Amino acid sequence: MDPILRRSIIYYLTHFVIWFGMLSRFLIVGDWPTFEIIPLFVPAWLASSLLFSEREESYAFLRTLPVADRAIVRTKLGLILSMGALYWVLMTVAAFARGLGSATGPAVFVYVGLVAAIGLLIAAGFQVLIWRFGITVMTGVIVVYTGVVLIATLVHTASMRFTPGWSEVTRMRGVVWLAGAPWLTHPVLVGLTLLAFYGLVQAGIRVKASSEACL
Amino acid sequence: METMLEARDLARHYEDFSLRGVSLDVRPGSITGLFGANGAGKSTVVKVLAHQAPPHAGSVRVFGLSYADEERAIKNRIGYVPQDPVFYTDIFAASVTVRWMARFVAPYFARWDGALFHALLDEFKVNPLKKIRHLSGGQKKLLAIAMALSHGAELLILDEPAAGLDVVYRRALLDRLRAFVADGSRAVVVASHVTDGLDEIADEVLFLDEGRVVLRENRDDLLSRWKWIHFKAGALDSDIERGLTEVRRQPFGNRGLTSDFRALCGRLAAAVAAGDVKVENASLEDVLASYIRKV
Amino acid sequence: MFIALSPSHPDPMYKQVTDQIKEAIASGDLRPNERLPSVRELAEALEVSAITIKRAYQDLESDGYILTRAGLGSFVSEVDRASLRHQKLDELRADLTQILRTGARFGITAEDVIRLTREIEGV
Repeated sequence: MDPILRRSIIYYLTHFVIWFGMLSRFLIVGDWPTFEIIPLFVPAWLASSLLFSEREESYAFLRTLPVADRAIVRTKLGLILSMGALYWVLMTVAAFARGLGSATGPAVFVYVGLVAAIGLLIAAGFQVLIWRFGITVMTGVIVVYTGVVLIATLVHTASMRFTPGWSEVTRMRGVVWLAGAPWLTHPVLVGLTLLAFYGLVQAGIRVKASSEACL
Repeated sequence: METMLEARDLARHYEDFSLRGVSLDVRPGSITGLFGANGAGKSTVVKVLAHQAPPHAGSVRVFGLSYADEERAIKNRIGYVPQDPVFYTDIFAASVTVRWMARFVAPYFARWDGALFHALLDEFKVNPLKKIRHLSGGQKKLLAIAMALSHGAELLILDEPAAGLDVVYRRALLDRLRAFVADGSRAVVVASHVTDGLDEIADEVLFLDEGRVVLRENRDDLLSRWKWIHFKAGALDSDIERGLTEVRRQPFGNRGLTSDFRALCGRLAAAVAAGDVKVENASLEDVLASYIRKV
Repeated sequence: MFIALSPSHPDPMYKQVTDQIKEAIASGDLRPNERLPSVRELAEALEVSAITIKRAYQDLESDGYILTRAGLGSFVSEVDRASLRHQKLDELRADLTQILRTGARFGITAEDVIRLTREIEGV
């Protein structure tokens, strides 16, 4: 495995293992409220993995090695995309396995897809911003973002205790509307995500090549 | 090939400092020395040449290639040693050792020579099992030098490699650099203080002062035209004095520095024969000091 | 007196000073009983340490070229031209041997050197 990938992936995997613990609980218990918060963790988890990984990175050292900027950008953004996809797939499979599709309708899967897609694109965006502005500047931003997402998740979880049955998210207008044609929504979502991702890779390459932030 | 490295009109601007109009050509078999005072821009030039910092103007071509297109190919063939080498020091709690570092970088280089690397570590007395963060500044420098020499590089770009090294290792470094270019197919570009001993091995000399190149010349040519001239009191006339860049008057003879010895040679011949004038070699340090004082 | 020191000269600094003062004495630049500069004066002027000059003066005194009187300074002794000449001849012998040896490698004989000497002297 690419040595840079090997070093960065540790942080993503440790975060993933913790998250998987939560998912396992759902798979065992199988109740809806537990599942609702699982997707909401993904954006925070990806951002946090990124932060740990980048704080420990040394671009000054990498620059002395024959590694092209292009390769670094593709490796690191590819990692975020892969982890995001992994979260996405596992959540979808878990929801299917526990029969959520029949219980709440396709809205659940749209919800999962949206959160995963947005979460991974934001994390990828942060990665590019780190190359543009440096890790020192971006640490604060990412910590605040992660904190806000986690707090919102916890608040939402707490509020759900007082709402019986299925959660509001799957009853949100936008989500329901999108769930109206799931066979269309999902491919489009995946397509748009990949497109946006491709754009981020190109931007990332340009930013990294001329960036002074990591000097 | 003709030129190993070609830089044209490099410029790079900082808040308080600007590098401008720096050009150089590095031919195979040569050692090019970049000298100058602190803050003259030596490090900046080296960083731009090694693609560690982008130039704000100008171009660099190495082996006829540009970094924009062939970054990986070029970096495989150059050995770079920064002024303050940095390495990965930590992964979680496991601290990184020299040996781990070697295993990390090896796959990136097409021609990594592990045996040579360990032989160099041996010579530089750097223990491969030592943790990087426990190495002294000098040892980190030696580690970086060992890495630069161990992947079949054809061009070395070094930023003050002798700074922080004691005499023994400095000598070893000079010998290694001399040997590196000995077969005429490889070259070295080294930024250094004149007093670090690298002036001994430089074939081409570049002086930087406040971000500009103030001199670019073959070392032997340079030192053959710069000389100290000692005059007996009375032997110094105004005609000769005009050919000197500085004159120091002392009770037992005057001392002058000339930048064009050939021009003065004829006029001094008689005085030399009479013992009224003595000629002495100037050092690169003398020449550089004179340039800096001029500006 | 004309003293020009060179850091790259094979002889140590104190010896360069000694030799050049001897030359000055031999050529008459320094006359007998003339006062030499003080150790500190000369050290400052030549930009070397006082220890170097002190050693040079000590050597000159033990060789009989100068006399040091406490509190008064160092003075050039009455010159014994004969012995000066003798000493210099010995030094020149070594130089000449070197010249002849180098010349021999290029097929230059002693006769060639003698002829060259006469030419230079205009004889």
